Amino acid sequence: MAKKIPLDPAAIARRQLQILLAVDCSGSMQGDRIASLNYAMRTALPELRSVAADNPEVDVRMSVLRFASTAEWQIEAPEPVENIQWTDLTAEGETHLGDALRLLADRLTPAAMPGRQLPPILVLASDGYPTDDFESGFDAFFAAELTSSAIRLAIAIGSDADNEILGRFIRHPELKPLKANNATDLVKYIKWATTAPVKAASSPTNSPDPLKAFAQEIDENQPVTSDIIW
Amino acid sequence: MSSDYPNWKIAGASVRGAAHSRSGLPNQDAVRFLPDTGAGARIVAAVSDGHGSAPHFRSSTGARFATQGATDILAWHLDTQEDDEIEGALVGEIISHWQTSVIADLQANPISEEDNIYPGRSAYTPYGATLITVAADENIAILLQIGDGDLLLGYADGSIERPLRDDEGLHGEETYSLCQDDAGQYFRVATMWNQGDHHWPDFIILATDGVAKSFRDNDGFEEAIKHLRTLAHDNWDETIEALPSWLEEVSRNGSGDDSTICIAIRTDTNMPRKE
Repeated sequence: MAKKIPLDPAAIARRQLQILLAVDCSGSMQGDRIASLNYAMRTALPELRSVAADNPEVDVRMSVLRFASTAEWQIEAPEPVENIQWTDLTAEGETHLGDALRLLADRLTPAAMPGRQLPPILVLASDGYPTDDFESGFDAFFAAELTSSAIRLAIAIGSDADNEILGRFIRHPELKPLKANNATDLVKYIKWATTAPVKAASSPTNSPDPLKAFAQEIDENQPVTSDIIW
Repeated sequence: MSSDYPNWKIAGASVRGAAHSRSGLPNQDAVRFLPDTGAGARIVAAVSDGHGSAPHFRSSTGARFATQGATDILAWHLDTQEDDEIEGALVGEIISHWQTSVIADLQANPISEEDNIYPGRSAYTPYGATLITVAADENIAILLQIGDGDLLLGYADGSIERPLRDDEGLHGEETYSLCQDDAGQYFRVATMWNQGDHHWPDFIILATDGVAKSFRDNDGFEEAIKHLRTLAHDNWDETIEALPSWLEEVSRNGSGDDSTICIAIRTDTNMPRKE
């Protein structure tokens, strides 16, 4: 029987994977859109918990940011996904994306995400044009130390969504915004955007461009056909 | 040139990560060392980490090709060339050998239509892997690396160091890879000469990134490596025998990734071994 090599348990740790979800709660989201988004999150969470449970080496956590006439954390501290209870979001006001980007930037630092982290997953869902100073928001966002390593996904809700702005958030030549033109699409994409990157991150890999597989999945998933269009 | 006195010991271990065990995937790391008897005046070591994601569906084979080719090439150069002629062409030879192995494997085992779904990939993409390789005798140590993973040297005063610069221009889980068309420009290379002073390593360790990623931070990882150096010098056989279970414990409680280590110690030193 071989002697055991001593190992300090405190030196070993699971890696944390943080999902930061930023949701547009402006007035244009009222009605079917915000109801569909709330429904999507309620159905996505059990799936996310299941994915996390299947991959015990990864400590999956989520924070939720809502933005309208201002931006504020709905769930601020990164919460283990098994503990999250979804509280329905309501919609009214303007679309202060710049404020949201500045709050995200504050979180994308080594101090705010200490230890061995997997690249954070950022999901932005929006249905309209920003109404605040989003340029300075983008500047702060892309100046944050961990933004460039984050997996940035965006969901364009409805046909009025500003794809150019969402594309600037993603800033990847092969990743495009997911276009949710109806409730079915939105539910599907919210579930996909919150669970697919967790599945991928939970399967240890390294490669020259880990995001390529996501680009292909997005291409394969679009467009979703439906008679009902927002 | 090398003497026949076996003043190095070398060994390696590789374990499949918990995540790969659950999903039924093979260990996508590879390790190879020479001499395979584990002792010699000249040693050569290589570890490789196959990328594992879907576009790299033959990366365990790519990792095996990488370690086989690199160790054979380094051993041949160290045994047959003048020392000062060694460095120049190694990177090109290693890449060329790996690519030739991949092409031969593709001819023997063509990719099916259903696997051929990744647009823009090169013939080498399915086999993508990293590589860390080292050759050393009593005069010279040659160190090469492409992609992630850890290469550390240990010294008689108990210190350890990373002899190669860090990679630049990468984000998140990205790594450079043998499968890239321009792989040659991403190799990091160093040659060390034994100047007869104390700055000549008595310990070499090569590790795939699954090991370091299991530690809370880099300090914890390096402390564990320092301890491993001391144990290896104090009782080589017991340490090597215990290495697989140590790797399993590290991976199971940490990254869950495949984890691979190759270590070598120099046995011709009477210098004190502080931890």
